[in-house]
Order: sequence, then structure tokens, then C-alpha cells
Amino acid sequence: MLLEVSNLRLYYRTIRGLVHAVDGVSFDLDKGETLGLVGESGCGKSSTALALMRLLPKNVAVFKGKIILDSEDITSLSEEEFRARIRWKKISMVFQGAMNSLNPVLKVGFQVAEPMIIHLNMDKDEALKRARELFKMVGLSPDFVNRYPHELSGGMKQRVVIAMALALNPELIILDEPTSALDVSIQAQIMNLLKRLKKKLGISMIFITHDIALASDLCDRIAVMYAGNIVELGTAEQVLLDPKHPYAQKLIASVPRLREDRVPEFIPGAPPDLVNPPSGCRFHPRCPYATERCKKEEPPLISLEDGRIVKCWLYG
Amino acid sequence: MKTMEVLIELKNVKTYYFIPKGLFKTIAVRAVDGVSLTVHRGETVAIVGESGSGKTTLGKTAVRLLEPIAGKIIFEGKDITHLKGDMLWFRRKAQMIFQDPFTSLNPYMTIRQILEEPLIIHKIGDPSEREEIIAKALTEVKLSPPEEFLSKYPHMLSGGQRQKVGIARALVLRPDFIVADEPVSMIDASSRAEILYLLRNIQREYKMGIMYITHDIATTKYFSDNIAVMYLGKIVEFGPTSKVLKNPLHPYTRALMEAVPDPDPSNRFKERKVIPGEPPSPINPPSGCRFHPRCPYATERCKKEEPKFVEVEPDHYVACYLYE
Repeated sequence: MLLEVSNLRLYYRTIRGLVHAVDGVSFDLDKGETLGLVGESGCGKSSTALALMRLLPKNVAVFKGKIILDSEDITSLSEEEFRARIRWKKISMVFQGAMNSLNPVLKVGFQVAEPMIIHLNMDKDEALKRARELFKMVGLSPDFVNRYPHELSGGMKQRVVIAMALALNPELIILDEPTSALDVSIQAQIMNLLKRLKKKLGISMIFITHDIALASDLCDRIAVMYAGNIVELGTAEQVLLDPKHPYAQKLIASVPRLREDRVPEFIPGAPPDLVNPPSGCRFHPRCPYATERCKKEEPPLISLEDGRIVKCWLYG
Repeated sequence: MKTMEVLIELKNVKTYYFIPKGLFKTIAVRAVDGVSLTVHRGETVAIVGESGSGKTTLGKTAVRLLEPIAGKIIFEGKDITHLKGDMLWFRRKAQMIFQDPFTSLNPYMTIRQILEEPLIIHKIGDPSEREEIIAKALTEVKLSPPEEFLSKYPHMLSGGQRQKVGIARALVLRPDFIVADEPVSMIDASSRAEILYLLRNIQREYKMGIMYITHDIATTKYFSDNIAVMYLGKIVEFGPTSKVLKNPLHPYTRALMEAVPDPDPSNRFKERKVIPGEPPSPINPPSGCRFHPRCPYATERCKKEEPKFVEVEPDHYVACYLYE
């Protein structure tokens, strides 16, 4: 087991009150495995990633739970230790829209080399040499190290950002909507690249997306999130072919399919306000199966016989 | 289909943007470069393409937010290609729904003001009649009861609700023609189908013609009658939605479809067939067939001559030498 997250909570302080962005999230991840965190905007998937990277905004009011990486409790590390040993070296991240935050006045090769110079004490030539290798690995011509960001297309910049995340040989790479700003044909190219890296490097990945169909392209297991909770967690086969939680069922039914004759459905209503989340099960106001119990009591995480976890009273 | 009434017809329309280069030169961006297309009353035509294909420019040209530099636009039998000044009648009949529901609604106006403004501009009804029209439009887009939304501001609504307001704003004038530019691309996946069903039902009720602009070919399957696939300013394939999706002809259409995953867990074990490279710039498009630098079937001829639009099966057209 590479990573074990248990009961992670992350609340933000705002003028309207506490935002329960991540509210008791638990999952684990094996070496070489890819986990998808899937859900709508505001479900807490990006906040979960920021908590793993310990890149927290200033208005965090509560940050609780346990994160165990390589049998070490990294939640108890000091900020200095976390920076020196964990962030980027063991866990790295491709941020949403990161390709647009490359420094416009520095050559992209140097931007990939820089973390190696700082963290690994490499000299500049050595780091640039390794940057050229990384460029090759992500499907860019090594000579592109001498280009500036404006000389690259969106897809190429995304490859640079992925090279950057790989620079320090991390064990886990978190990808937050890595293709959301790209055209579909470029998106398919990047997904192919990620598949190749997953196979070749045996690296673990957490893939964050709102698009559950896209998650099927990469993820071995999928966690469906709703309003700060994981509501279902299972293998890609279990979740995609036979979802159990009503929200997961609805989410999958809402995907328009090109190759099958299944008319897309939709979920009436909108996700709840996380300052004042609904009582009981947070999905109950939109759930077709909601009972009195769902309104009052929060369902526990229930392990089914096939090994998956569902947070729903239908199964308990 | 053949007997349907033509609502708007574009004939070899070209819309270029001119950007200054240096002091004295300008260069042309050939965003839409010779497009012919017809939308009938009661029909939805999907315009599918990636960024830079010219699909949004085409939509804006069709509602004459942009003026073409060549070609003709005929709306209900009238030539509106170069209409200037006196176009209020056309504005009333042709409306646009924008991609971004967060920036296309004025944040300082209430929902009532947003929906009443077009009625005031077009001098429709007295205040109480307008109130009635607005309430009806809100009910039609399933924002009910209307009283609950009238005095709210856009920021108090979710993305899906805002887009519904955008649709209601287009509807209050009872237009004949709507250009919907990526109306669901910024909305959560779980609400997309709702917005699209809404549009489709309203269209059926009022027999509107819709140009549905999208990058997502999967949604066209359920929400369009015809598809036009655009690449670098030109339509490369056109036909009834079912035929195009069942039997895509142009290599670009096939690549677009191949790139879209269905939620199938076996996807992760195989790589997708992808087309290499990225679309070139419309400032200096490739010679011959514009897709040839990325096309796996390109021949010498494709580099030199531009393929003509040919009918391969009834109503199904493609511009590609593979089918000549």
C-alpha cells in the first residue's frame, strides 16, 4: 500500500460560515494504481488533492485526518520536513490550468530543470540534460527545452507541465483535470501519454475529473464524490458497469454515449451549499429513493460483499 | 425533411478577422472560409468542431453579430448579408445563447430586469403584459415558481439555473432562429442533458430553427437532426445525424468520434487511435485539403487540390478524395 487516507476533513472559513469542503474522506492507493476522484464542481475533489499536497489556502479552519504514505504518517510532519521530503519528491501534482501558469519569460526546459537544481542539488547542465530526457518521455522533441511557453501549443504546454511533475521521480502524481482546457483530439493524445507513463514508470496516480467517461480511460478504481464525501468507491468495472449509490447511478446515466443507444438522463436540482449541508445523507434532497431515515441519519460507509464501499442506507 | 420550410440559408459565406501587423500591414484570419448551410424551421443543425474551426464565428455571422466579407445570408427569404441600422426586426427573430452563463448575464441586473430588457427594446406589451411574458418564459425553462427567481441576481443562481435564464432571455421575444453556442460546456455533467432537453422541447413547441454549436460530438446524437463537421473554416462533412454518426466518412470526423470515450472500464487497457499534431493556424491554412498534414490517408493530390463536396449517400456529403 502506497497511500492511506483516513477521515480527511478540510473546512474553509468564509464570511458566510464554515465551508465543509472535504468531510470525512477515506481511501487507499496501491503502487502503480490509478484512482479516479470523480464528481461535480464543488464536491471537494480538488480540495482533497490540495490537502494531500499540503498546499492549503490561508482560510483553512479545520484540517484533520490521517495521511499515511509509505507507512509514514505525513500529517504529523512539520512544514519544513514536508517541503523537504514529501512535496514534489514523493507526491507531485499537475494543477488544473497549469499549462497557462508557465513562466512566460523562462525557457520551458529550465522550468522543468529548476526543481532538480533546487531539490536534488544538480548542476544546471546535468538538470537540463535530464529535462531533455523527460521531454522525450512525454513525447516532446528534446530540442523544445530551448523554447518559451508562447512558442508551444496548448497540448505541448500540458506535456511540459507533466514533465515537470515527473522531474523528481515521485511515487504519486495527482492530475487535476489535466485535459479540461484542451480540444478533444488533443485530450485523447494526452490520455494516451498518461496511459503509457502509467505502464512504463509504474507510477501511482490520482486522476481528478468531472467527466466519468474520461476517468474510464485511465483509472483502475473510481471514487465518486458528492458534497465533500466519497459516496461510492470500487473498481472501475464495479462503479462504471454496476453503480450502487443512487448518485453514481445518475451520474453515469447522464453521460451521452456515442456507441450505445442509451438516452442521457439528468439529476434534477443542484448540489447543496456546503456552508449548510443537508442533514442526514447529503444527497437525499435529490435522491429518488430517499426515506425519512435518509433525512435524519447520515449513512455510514458500508462495505459490500464484492469489496466496494457505498455510503447509502439502501445497503445497510 | 425535404418539404420543410427554409429558415436561414448561408451561401458560400466568408468571415475574416483582420489583425494589424506592424504599421501598415494587416493579416487576415480566415475564420469562416466559404461555408454553405441551410437551417429549416423546426430543425436543429449541430456545428461540430474544435477550437479554431470557426464554429463560433459562423454562429455569430448567422445572427449577424458579425458581417461576412463574402457570400450571402438569406433569412426568411430576405437578404440580410449586409443589413445595417434597420435590423431590429431581425434581432427580434434571431437570438443567441452564449457559452458562459457566468459572464453573459449582467451582474447588476435582477432576473426580472434581464428578461424585461429585450421586451422594452422591442416595445412589446405594457408592464403587466411583460410581467406575464417573463413569468411564462421562466416557467418554460423550469425556473418555477417564477416569483422565487424574479428579484434574484445572477450570482445567487447555480450555473445550470443561470443558463436557463440565458435561454429564457432568448425566448421572451419568440424568436424563429436560435444560435446556441456551446450552451452546456460550462455546466456540470449531471445537468447538461436537462438544459438540452429543455431547448429541444421548446423548439418543438414553437418550431424554431436551432444552430447548436458544440465541440462534443456525443451530445449531437440526441439533440440534432443534421451535423456539420467543421475544420479550419470549412465544413468537411454534412448529413443527417444518424447517418454521420453511424457511418462517418471524413477521416477528421472519425478521429473526433474516436477521441470521445464512453464510460467503459476496458478503455484503460488500450490506447486510443489519435490523429497526430494540432490544428494549424487559420491565418495561413495548408494548401489543398486543409486536413492533409494530420490525415493518415493523405496523398500528393490532397496536398495540392482542394476536394469538392460530394454526396456519397442520400443527403450525406463529404469533402474528401477518398470518396471520389
